[in-house]
Amino acid sequence: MAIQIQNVRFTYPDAPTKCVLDIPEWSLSKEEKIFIHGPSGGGKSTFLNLLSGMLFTHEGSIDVFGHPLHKMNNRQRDQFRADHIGYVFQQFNLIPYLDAVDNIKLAAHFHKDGEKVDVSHYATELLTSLNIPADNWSKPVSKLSIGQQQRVAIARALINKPELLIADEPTSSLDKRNCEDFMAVLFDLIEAHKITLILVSHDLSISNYFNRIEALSDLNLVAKGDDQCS
Amino acid sequence: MFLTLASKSLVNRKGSVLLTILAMSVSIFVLLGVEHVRYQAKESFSNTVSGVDLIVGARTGSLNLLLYSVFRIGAPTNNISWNTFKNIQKKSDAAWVIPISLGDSHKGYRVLGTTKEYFTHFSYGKQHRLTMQQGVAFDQVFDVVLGAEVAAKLGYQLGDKIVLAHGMAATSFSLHEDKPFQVVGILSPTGTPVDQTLHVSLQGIEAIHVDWKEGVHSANSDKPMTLDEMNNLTPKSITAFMLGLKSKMKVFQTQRMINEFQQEPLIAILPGITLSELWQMIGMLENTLRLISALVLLAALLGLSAMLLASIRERSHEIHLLRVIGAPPRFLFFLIEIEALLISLLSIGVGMSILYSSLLVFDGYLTTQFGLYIDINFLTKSNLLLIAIIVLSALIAAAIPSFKIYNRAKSSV
Repeated sequence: MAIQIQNVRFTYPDAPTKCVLDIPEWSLSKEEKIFIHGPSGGGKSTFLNLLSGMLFTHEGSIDVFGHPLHKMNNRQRDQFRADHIGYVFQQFNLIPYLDAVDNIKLAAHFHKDGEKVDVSHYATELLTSLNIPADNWSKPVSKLSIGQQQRVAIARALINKPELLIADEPTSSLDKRNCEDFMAVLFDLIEAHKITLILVSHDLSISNYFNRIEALSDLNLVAKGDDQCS
Repeated sequence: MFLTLASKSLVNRKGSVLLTILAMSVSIFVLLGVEHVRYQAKESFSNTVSGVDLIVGARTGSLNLLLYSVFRIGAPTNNISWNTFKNIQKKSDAAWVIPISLGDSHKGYRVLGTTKEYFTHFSYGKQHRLTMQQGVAFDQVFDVVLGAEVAAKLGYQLGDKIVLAHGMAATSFSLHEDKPFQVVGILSPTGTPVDQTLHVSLQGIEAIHVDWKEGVHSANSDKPMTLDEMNNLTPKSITAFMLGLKSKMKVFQTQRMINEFQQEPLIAILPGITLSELWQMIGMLENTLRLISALVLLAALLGLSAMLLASIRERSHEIHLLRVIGAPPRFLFFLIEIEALLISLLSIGVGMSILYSSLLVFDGYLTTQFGLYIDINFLTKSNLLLIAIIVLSALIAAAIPSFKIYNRAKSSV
């Protein structure tokens, strides 16, 4: 199993009585690609943040590739995220004043072997397979088009050879052509590297890439009207 | 990677960063400048005279006597008669005496009338004797020995003829044109007012004033003096004299004897004690200057802190992104600290360059106007310590925004 969740409940510390997430059971197999959709405010970000270890709950258990996130401390979860998870957002995926190569190297820096391995070769390999022209590699990424920025973001997310890629509305700021390009290169790469994918979006038009499609409301009991964390 | 991120982030915010660097540079310039000039001035003053037990002059303030006799600052109030000088020389247990006679100048440099004892007994710094760079001490009435700077600035060689002026102005109209002096010696540099002095014999001073009455040249002398007569002139008065005693034990006894001298009102001072009185007076001013420069630095550091704090707000996406790719909160803490370190190092570089160039520019001015010899090299041990303190204070000032970003990173989702 790639991910196994049992009896997870989550409340934000500033609103301890309002339950945001209540998932009795949920799992994902290795190399599976899942499309999750749902309205904004439905706990999507909370769900993804729990999987990546950005958020933490005492209630229930979250195992990601055999790592029990609910048993780790803050430092271990930061390191876990750097080593095992790639993350792509809708925007602000890159440090704007660094160039593409430096952005990728920065991500590699936090991997547990980041200081030892020379990632330049792999970085250029990724950028090439993502169709980023070589003369754009050393420009500040803020000078790149949105489509190119999102593809550089894939390279940044994959540099540490993660087992799991989480994409949070990755195509929402792209036009139709760029969106198709993005999905095409994304699927090429994750299939080539045998990566498990969770993609969250409200844009159902890209769901045809997936064979498992779920609404967040199907796994989160809170969305079904039960928002009391007892 | 860490440094790349920090430096490119600073370049990305160059507007506010440059202003902060500028503010810090100015404060570092002020702080190091004040410290350096203060230290050097003290050093330069303390090194000017050594081995002199007593300085004797007509009764005046002890500071005034020290300033005009040693530092060539200010004007003598009155002269001492030659008889008194001889009298005291006899009465005191003097190993040597150096009479000095001031009042004339050459192109703004002071002329000192004295005897050959000056070259053998006067010492500066840590008991350094005066040495000749070229030539010999004066022997004839119209011989002159130049200080190193006088020779260098005015381009004089041995054998050159020069004319002295009455009074101190650089453009004096009353020149002793009828009696030119010949350069017979040039002293080695000492880093004291000696470098800016022209030394002639007391007879020389007498000779050029032979036909002068009340500060004006009266040409109607009966018959011109022969050179031989001039060589044997006895001065009527001198400005002051320095005294070296055979036994240091008798310094206070001799001082009292001179201060109570009946025939003429005199004052004898111990140069070291008078110098420390001077430091006491200047000390207050010094501390005020130091306090002000420290406050200027504090203001600049607060500016640095405010700038970094403001930057955190505009970098919330950056913070979140770094967290997502696995940066622990302490990474962000040190990122801000490194930025502060880079800013303070750059400011120290700029501040020191400004200080260095202004020392180069004002070096000559300080020397000629105030008799201050300021070493260009300000990287003394205490200034290096000061620089280390500045860096440390910058890191402490940056701790406020660093903790802020640390906390924000911890709660960033």
